Amino acid sequence: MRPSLIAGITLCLCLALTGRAAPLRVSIAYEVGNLTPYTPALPETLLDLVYDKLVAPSPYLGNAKPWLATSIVPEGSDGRTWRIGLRDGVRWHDGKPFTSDDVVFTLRYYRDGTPNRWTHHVSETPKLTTIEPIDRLSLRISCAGPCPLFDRVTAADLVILPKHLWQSVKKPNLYRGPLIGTGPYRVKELAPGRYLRLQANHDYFGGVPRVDDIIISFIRNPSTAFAALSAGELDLVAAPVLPELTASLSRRPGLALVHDDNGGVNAVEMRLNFDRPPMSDPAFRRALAMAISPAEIVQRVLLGQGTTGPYPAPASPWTKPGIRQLGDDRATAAKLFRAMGKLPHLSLKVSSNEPLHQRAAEVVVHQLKEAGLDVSVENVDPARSRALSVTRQFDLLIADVTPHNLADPDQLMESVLYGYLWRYGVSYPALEALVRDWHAASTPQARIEAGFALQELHSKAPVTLILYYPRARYAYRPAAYDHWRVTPGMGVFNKWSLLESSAQ
Amino acid sequence: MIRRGIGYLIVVWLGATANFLLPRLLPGSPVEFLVGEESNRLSATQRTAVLTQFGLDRPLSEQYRSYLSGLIRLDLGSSVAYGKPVLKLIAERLPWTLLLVGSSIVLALFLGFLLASVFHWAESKRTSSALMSAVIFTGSLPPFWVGMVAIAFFAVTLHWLPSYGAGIGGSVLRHAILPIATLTLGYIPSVFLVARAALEDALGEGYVALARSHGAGPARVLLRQAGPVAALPLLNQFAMSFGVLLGGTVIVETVFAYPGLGLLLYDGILALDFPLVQGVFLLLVVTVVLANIFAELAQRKLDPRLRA
Repeated sequence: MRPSLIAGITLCLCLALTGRAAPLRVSIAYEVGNLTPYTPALPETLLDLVYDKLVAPSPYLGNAKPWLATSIVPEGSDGRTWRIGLRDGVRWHDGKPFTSDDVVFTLRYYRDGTPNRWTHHVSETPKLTTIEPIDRLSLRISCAGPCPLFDRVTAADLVILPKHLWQSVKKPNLYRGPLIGTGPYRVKELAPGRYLRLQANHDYFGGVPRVDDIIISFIRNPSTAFAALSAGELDLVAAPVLPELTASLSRRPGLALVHDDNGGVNAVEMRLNFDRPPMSDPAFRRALAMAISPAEIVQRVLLGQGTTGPYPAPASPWTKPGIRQLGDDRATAAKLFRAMGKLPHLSLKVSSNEPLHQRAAEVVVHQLKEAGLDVSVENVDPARSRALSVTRQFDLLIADVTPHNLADPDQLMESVLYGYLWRYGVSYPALEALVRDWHAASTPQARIEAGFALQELHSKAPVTLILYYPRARYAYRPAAYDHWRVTPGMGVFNKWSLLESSAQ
Repeated sequence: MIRRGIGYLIVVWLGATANFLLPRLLPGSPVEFLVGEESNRLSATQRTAVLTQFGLDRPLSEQYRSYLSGLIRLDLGSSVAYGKPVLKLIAERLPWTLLLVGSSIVLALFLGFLLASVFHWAESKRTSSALMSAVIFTGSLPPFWVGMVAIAFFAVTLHWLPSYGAGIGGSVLRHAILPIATLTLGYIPSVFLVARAALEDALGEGYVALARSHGAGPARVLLRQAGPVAALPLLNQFAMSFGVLLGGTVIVETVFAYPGLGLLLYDGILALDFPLVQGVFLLLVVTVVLANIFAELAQRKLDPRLRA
């Protein structure tokens, strides 16, 4: 027998015996240029495949359980100090042991170093004043004010970095060192512009991942991604199925859809710029909210594949039960607008790369016109849309709103203080009193109640209107992998889909 | 020749300066991309800490001086979006785009010239009109639509070709076929129109009539007499369109998730990644200038009148 034939048969036998299958092929809608907390626009679900947090899965549903930590317990009764115990035996992907030094280093690095998307949760809300190790596997933190939700929110927000690799990094956005975490997957290869290849971490403390090898391709155009899935070139498209493709993909042999039954914590909103008249007038904002019928938007734009709801997300335990968004009362809105006299023409900004947002904008303009308000849609490129949103140069603006803004109780305070829901310094006495109450709340329940009061106040004269909560569906190939499950706020492609159910 | 060289250097300098200034006229700052909505709450010190990493915290004049001195050292700075040296990013992506653009230019020049020859060769006016209509129609099809139809037919229905990417561990050429075909289809009409007009002029010349009177057939007249003369405007066409095609691959690369320069530029613009955008645009400027120099030298070689 020829040597090459013998080698081939041996390889096949080895693969069969070890159970190694072909790589799982997944597409995501953005390019991964690096994989650290300082990589801009990188979703935390991808970060979570390589790194871990102290508690998991997320801060959004109030169900975070110890993960890298074994316990996070309050010390004293003022809600400011916490003692954190850590798992023993955890190792970084390069074999170095994980200790309290890594956690202390990470929290200090986030607090004192270059800001990223997460750092304000240790430098501002809450502000950590003391971060000190107690021994190899425990540490203590203290906050400047009460931080009664540290164990379920803050600790669930931040991924932990290896001190031995990051301690000398002065420019974290330019970090090009090894991508080492404690997570269920190691980075095997990052091919620029093409794909990211992950290899299972067989020593993972959360159990050996179900899939050994994952190739993640970067496909921005959703039509291409779903075509590749239909052609058998992919096993999962990690982006939600476009509403108009749901029916055809669900009928396609070899494909299946998984959807979120728990209610979403992602939404599309219309922001009202409270810095500009007439949106600065609470009465105008109320009338505008009344003129909008989100149910019609869900039908026309999402083809019924979504729900309506208020801000913040009704599925979140941090949201006041029974809170409602004004709406569906165009006749009253029209009367109120008429009573306000001549109102200026308003512009509704929408990003040019978001077709669903553009469709929603057209329905909104139609609804507002029926109530007597003159609004026109202005398409802007995505970079400009982001800049206008942050610098508040818009009348009305449609955008995605993330779980971070919809279901994170600490972020609620950031939103009130720094321009999303209000800006501290713009006079609003009722709000200022509630902000003081929120900061003073030293028990979890008191903090949650203080958050409810802020939400209630916002709902009376909203500066953001939720147009819809999409009921996200994800298309995949069951023959390749059939354990996908949607985690609210994290989609389907996350570590919980790839670990045994018992891990969670 | 020296004056010409100085002229080209001035063009490159003007292009480099425009590339430096234009991205900075866009609203917003890279901080918003790097930190997101949270950038609202950053103090001036924190904003500076973010920008310092890329040298974008310095005054504009200082950034400009640093940019120009960097050009001399071939240091284009570090990308905001990717956290890597811009030159390295360009080097990673350029070969993919050159494969697409180079192949589609060669194919389009060949096919466009061939179709223009058929146009003149065809005895029947109906055939020429049909050909002209077909070419104009093809040119009016949006590339993203052509790309999606190609994916639906050749990848999803027939399973002949892959629908996206550049391949993993081989099969690079198979992955390039649909993007190259889409780019080529879009480029053929302009080549055809230039070649058709050039051939028309050349076929009306006296030396062509002389060749015909000596018994040269249509093929010989086209290939030996009119063809080389008609190739000169095509060289100009190539020089003019090389940069446009290089920058214009954004749509095709997006549709096919192809890891080229166009997609890199697109991401750079979305991120307000000044170093990356100015680096890629500079490459386009230099490419257009080099293509023009090449076309000029080739014309001198081919056209004895220019050598005189």
